[in-house]
Amino acid sequence: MTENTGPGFGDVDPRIQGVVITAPEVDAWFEREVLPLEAGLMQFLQHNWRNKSDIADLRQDIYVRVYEAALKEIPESAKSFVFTTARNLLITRMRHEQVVPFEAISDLEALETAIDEPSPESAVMARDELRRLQAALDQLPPRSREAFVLRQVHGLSGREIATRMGVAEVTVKYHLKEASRILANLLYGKPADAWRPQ
Amino acid sequence: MSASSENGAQNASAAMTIEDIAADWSALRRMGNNWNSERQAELDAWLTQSLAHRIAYLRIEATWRRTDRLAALRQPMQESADRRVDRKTFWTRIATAIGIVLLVGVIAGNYFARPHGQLIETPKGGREQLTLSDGSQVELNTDTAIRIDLDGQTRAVELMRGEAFFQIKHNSARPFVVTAAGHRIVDLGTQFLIRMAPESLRVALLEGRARLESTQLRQHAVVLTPGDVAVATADVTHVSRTSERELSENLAWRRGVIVFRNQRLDKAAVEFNRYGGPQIIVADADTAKLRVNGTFLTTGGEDFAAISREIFGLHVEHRNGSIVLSR
Repeated sequence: MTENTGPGFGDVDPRIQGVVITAPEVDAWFEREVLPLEAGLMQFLQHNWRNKSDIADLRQDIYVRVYEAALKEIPESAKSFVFTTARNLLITRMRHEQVVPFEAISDLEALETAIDEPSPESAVMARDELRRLQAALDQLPPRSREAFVLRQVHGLSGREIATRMGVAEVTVKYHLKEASRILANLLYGKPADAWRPQ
Repeated sequence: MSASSENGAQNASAAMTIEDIAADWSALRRMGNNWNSERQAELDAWLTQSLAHRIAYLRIEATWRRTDRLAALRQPMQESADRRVDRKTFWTRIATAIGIVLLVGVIAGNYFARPHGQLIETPKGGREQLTLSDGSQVELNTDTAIRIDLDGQTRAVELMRGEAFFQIKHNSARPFVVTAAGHRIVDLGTQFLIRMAPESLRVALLEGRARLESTQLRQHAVVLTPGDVAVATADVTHVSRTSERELSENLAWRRGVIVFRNQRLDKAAVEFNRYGGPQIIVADADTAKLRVNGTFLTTGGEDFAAISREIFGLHVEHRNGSIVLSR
């Protein structure tokens, strides 16, 4: 005998099939609390990992671990959780790969506490944010910047940008992809103080 | 160099490849004109493959959102087709915007918050049947509000409160998208019923196919087929199968009736109360647990109370225009 066969739509039958887990809260938390730590995290990884070509991979592993943990329970302090995860991952990989002398790990722990990450709550003033966007846009390849500005400032569609720039739509897609990829690395991966005007 | 650094290089390129694919999807979606439900389904499939995919996509989307504020600098463009964006003008505009940044925030907020489309509401106890300009039909139940905007690239309807039944004329070039309570239902040729409750959204699919997704997390899409009933809260979506008979009973309001099948009395009262008759109050927990069967007019709260008195021996008291049921 099922409980909710009438038009009362309150509870869910516990025998339901095909459960889909959604995590908008975790996504929002990740964007708000974790991504702003990226600059500090990159700095940490660059200081503590010799092989620079590993860093994108390490960052991805750390993000996956942090996100997985947050699906179970959102950590109280994103900052300490992210950096503890990063440190543990590096220690595991150092031991596993046996490429770094053991004493490097204690150095690592000392360094970790010394790292001065930008705090996510230091609510970047909207003015600084625009300045930062401007500086980041300036670093894009010219054609990618042009496509990106047409999209984000003038609100043109892909087809309209293609017409205006005199290129195919796939080329527009390429430019927008490049622009967003580079901007992600600049806006999240680069320390905030690197953007302050001299 | 050791094997480990080779490994590292490979992994690094794997991470960068994922980033690149995520950025590619975002770019394609933002271009607008080629985006359709098939593309969305492909993206959904890619996103569900791994958490790394999901996070890379989230990061790129967050970047796009951060740059959305640049739209505040938007000014009408001149019509000449060969006009390129004048960088000097653009940076001058940025500088101006920096000067009046707070104002810009307010303007941008208003620009995006400005509602489009036409608002249609029913009062408590009301019902409305609409045929839209594209031939689709929408029926609104009691105490319901929707906003219809069929002029954009997608046909968009927002369910703001209440319950509505949609019979969509499918057009793959212009998807029909209903948003409600932080979720989106994308028509893939279909008839469906949507109801907003205080903490959940219920979507029942009668014919065709539709995709239900969170507006926050596009990747958590579920495709509904006939007989599926999805109950979505902010965090979780449950999908269950329902019989045809039950579905048609869910739609009984279209004929002005409510059907109860082994329904708890307190939930039955909630149903009647939606239609704006005398409010039925179930006074105690024991009474709430009684179960009722039957078909009633949506305006039949008085009959319902009278029958409950006869069957269950309940006390029925009229108090300030409400009907109080107790043991």
